[in-house]
Amino acid sequence: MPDTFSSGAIPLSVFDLFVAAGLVLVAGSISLLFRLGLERRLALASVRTVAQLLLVGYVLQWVFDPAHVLMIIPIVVVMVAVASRSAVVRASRSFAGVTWRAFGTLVLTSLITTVIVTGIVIGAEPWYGPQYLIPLLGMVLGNSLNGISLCLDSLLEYLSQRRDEVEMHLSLGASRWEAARDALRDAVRRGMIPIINSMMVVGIVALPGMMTGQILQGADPLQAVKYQIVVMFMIAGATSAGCIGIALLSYRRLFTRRHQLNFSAIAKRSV
Amino acid sequence: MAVQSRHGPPPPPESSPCPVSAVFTIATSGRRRRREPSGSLQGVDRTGGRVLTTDTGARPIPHPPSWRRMRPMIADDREEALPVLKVSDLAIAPGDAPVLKDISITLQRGTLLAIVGPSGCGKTSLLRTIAGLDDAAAGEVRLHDRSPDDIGWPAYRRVVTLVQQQPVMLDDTVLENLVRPFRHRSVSLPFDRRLAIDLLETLGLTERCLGQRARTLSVGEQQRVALLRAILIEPEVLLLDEPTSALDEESQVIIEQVLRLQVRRHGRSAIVVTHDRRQADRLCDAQLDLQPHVIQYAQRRGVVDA
Repeated sequence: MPDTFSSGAIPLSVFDLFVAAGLVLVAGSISLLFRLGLERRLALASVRTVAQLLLVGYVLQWVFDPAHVLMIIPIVVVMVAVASRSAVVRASRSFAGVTWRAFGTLVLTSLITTVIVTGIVIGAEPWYGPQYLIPLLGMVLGNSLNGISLCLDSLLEYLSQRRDEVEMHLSLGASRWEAARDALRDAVRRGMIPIINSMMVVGIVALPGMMTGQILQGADPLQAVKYQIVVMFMIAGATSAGCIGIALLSYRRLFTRRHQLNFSAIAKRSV
Repeated sequence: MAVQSRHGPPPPPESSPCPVSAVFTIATSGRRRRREPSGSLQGVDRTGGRVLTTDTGARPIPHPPSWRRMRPMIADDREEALPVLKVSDLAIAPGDAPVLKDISITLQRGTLLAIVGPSGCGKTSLLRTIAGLDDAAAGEVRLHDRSPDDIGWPAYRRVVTLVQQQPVMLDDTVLENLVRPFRHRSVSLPFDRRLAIDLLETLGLTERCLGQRARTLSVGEQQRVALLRAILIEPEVLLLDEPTSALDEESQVIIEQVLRLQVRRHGRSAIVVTHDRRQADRLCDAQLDLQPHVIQYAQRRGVVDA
């Protein structure tokens, strides 16, 4: 590993990882002792953690090599695609074409936000430098997809549970926008609540993982805080734009040009 | 075949349940009507020819002077002769299974049409389709001979207003429920609180209930508030889905009175879906029985040719 990545940090050996694994064994034995039945899942989860993170580590090490700069494009596409898919899958209802809409929303909001941060705020040279772009995009996508799935879930639930109310407004001369406004507002609000909540308590209840990582690595806490502020704002901006984006795109799909609620388009996901 | 009512001078307005000289054209099968340009009657006249004038000929019947005094809003006979709402050859297929076909209705100003038929035959679907909440499988609806696509659907629905069978109340006060439609861009009237209170009292509710939370009212009361909410925006055609289904007999009578008043004094029209044939007889100028239009299940499944 190049020196730049280990500056100030205490390097971990394989032995250290085994000690950490011992902590999982404690959890496993508690599960066995109290017959929680979680030990198999816990073991699988631990193995997956190790395997996935090691894989990502090797991939990142390879991608960060300036010789492979073009590899950023497929990686970004896969990241956004997986994020949009999981945002959609988590909502309890869906409609045809929702994944594409989530994908478009995430490309427009998360990617642009991240590029603004790497290019202008951090001023990375070049702005697509993978060691900046990929981790930041990952953080933005992870939070944005939460917001989007909550927003989508709320919107679709509102429109199917309160269909009569929406159609009552339409019957009394409301345009589709007037009839949908309450549902859209509720949905965007619900998508934004988690990020606003975490902004409210950040640093008091928990130190954010990125900041903790930087401090462990020996960075100046104030520098770490500045980075964290940027990250929080970036996430808030991307999440709100993402919620509004998916809400509007869903609205265009679920209300017809004849100002009808296209109720039959909403499908309940079989769980 | 054209049937005209043979009656003397119209009875005084307050004693008659229906407008006497309303021109009511009802042709339930558009295809047959076109083959017989002289006009045909397929509507069921359950009023004994007393109030129903059915005529598909082009020449409208002029209104007697008393009629005009009663409804000063009407400017001239030519305008009056144009049907408010015309439904032509409508077919309904919710979820791609056809349910109803060949429905044609010509609704004149100031008339009440009842839609009756067995339950599940598509009465509510028909009303929703006329309101444009669902698309028709075939046929079209025209308001004053204009397509809702040209008028704009919100503007159309603001004039052809559906009141759902299950009253839908916003989780707010009754007043807010009544005021809300006035915030729609298509409703360019100001909210008339005085009129609202008057009508509320006519409907057997008190002014006090304006401040009450709408969802705490009984279903019957909610049904009346829902009707009032629609009337307040002054639509030309009310589409009422079982407007008295949740009401006791007394309130039913009140609602029927209010409807007649709206129709006679304000020249509105109404299409009332009801399962109660006696109510249809009492209240309406004509009835459309959906039975002949119902596509049987076997036909729907393609077992029998339609």
